[in-house]
Amino acid sequence: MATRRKSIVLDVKHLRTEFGTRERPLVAVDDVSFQVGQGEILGLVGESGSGKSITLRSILGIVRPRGRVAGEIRWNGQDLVSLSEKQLRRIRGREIAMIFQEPMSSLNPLLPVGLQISENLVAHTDLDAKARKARAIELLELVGIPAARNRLDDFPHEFSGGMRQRVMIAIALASNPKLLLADEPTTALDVTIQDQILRLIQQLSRDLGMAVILVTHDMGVVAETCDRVAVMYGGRLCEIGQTADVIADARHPYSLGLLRSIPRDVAPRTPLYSIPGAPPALNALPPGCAFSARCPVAGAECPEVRPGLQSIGGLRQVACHHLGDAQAHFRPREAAQ
Amino acid sequence: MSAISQSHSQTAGRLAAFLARAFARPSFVVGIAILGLSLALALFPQVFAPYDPLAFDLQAMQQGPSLAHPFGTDNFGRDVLSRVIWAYRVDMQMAFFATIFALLIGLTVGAFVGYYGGIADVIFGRCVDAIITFPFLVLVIAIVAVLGPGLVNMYVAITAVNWVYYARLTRAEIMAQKANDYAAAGRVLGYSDRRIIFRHLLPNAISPIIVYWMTDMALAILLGSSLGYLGLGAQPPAAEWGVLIAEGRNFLMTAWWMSLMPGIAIVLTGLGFSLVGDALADLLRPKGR
Repeated sequence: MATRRKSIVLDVKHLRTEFGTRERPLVAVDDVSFQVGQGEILGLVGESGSGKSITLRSILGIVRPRGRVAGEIRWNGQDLVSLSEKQLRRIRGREIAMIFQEPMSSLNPLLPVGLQISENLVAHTDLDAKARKARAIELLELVGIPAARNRLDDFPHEFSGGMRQRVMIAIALASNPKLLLADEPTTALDVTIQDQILRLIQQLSRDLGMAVILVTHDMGVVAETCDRVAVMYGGRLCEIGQTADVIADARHPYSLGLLRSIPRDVAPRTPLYSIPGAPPALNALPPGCAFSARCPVAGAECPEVRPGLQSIGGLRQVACHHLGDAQAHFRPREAAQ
Repeated sequence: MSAISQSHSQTAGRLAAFLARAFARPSFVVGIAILGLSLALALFPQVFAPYDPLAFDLQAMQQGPSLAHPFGTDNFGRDVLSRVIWAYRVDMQMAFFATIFALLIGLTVGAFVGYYGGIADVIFGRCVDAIITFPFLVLVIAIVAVLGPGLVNMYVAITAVNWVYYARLTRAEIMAQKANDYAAAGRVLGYSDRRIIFRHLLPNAISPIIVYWMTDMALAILLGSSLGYLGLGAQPPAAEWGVLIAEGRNFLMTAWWMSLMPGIAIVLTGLGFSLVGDALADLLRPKGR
């Protein structure tokens, strides 16, 4: 695939988010750097607790005040990390929008959806009541809600899960954001609806030139939707690159393990592969590679020395001391399957 | 235009459906009937009361219930029925004014403390502890004793103590609502904290508080008439149920109606508030959405 790169809209450098006391901080996101281009969909993949949601929430500063964010988040020439809550409020919802995992609870149950859309328009645009209503209908049509005009006065509980997620997207799109942060937007939906929502996000990103960061734990979702993918583990990046490259030719042992755990062309009743062990707790991360405890090819230095992200050609970057061993460990079995 | 009127008719339709469900409950119907009658008596006592509540009739002192005086007369020959009816005005006022300021203060404080948490919550917690350590009535009596007797001072005293209970309840409800994604969604949409608290969280948190308010109005009448009985609330010769009972206490053996009739009025009105509060608790309880 050609490496066409558009202008970069979001540039995250050495992002670090920690909770708890300053003396014994719990580091949820550690030295994470990535960039998102205009109109690009970046997938952020990892297990629960790998720090992917916290990364998203750090971008908008909503982990504060309990969480502390350090590093640099460059957005339109501003560093979001250094902005006050008040300055951030002007960016939230207007330039960067976010949707959540649970469409059931992310809408206010007591307000009709039309009001919830126009509330965002009141906060971020100068439209009058009539124009807001027209825009609300337009947005609901844009996200594919049938008979949008008649549904403005409906309450969230009168919509199905998938339709609610569409409403959420419509609210998020109300003020034409340049970046959409999607925190597992399809996890709570069933598979056919999941597919529709992903297509919708893809199509909106293409039509509106909107960048998207899609957090998910599902490699299938990434393969289907994202231009690039970043794999996270224990609050750190393991691997980042074009989706097709990473899926066809993963290098980090963790990415290899994740891909291995997707059943492909296996006979019925074959036990599924799973990566042995469980993710480390935030207060028990080793100073070195976070994955070392579960890694099949870890050496003696792995828990001690942190591997940095190294470029391995093109736009691929991987953080591992034993790239060769990982290949050797996973390849033969891949071939055997 | 048509869409606006449609929106209004939809809202009206929902209200009608809610009222239909409410009036299908006997307890709500009885409660609302009692409260409606109480309110009418409180607003227009001169229409309902057969006599002047303050007029002495020395020819007819301490007469038992009769056609001329259905609730009898007191030791000055005043018509007890008229005095009980005029007392509605004072007692219904007490139900409202002794609770409304506590409700408003409690809602505001509780909402902010519940939303922000942190050090404000800690300080709030200690204040609550300090206030609820004292028995409610004792604390109120102490404050009235300092301020001096009278209705307004009684409202001040009750509010000073009572807001804590509303604030505690509101805080807990707001904290529960805050955990929902729509609160975080409001934040990522760039809404101000005040907007999130008062437009999104509070409306979702308010039902149990309204229910508590209903019950609390019944308690306020009991408290107000207790203070009236003790001479710390409404002052004689004004007609107030607690005052009326106090006036009758020396004549319980000879003129029991002097104390019994206002007592029945207290019980009945309290029952009305409780029934409505109870029905609202059921009606407003979130259904499995």
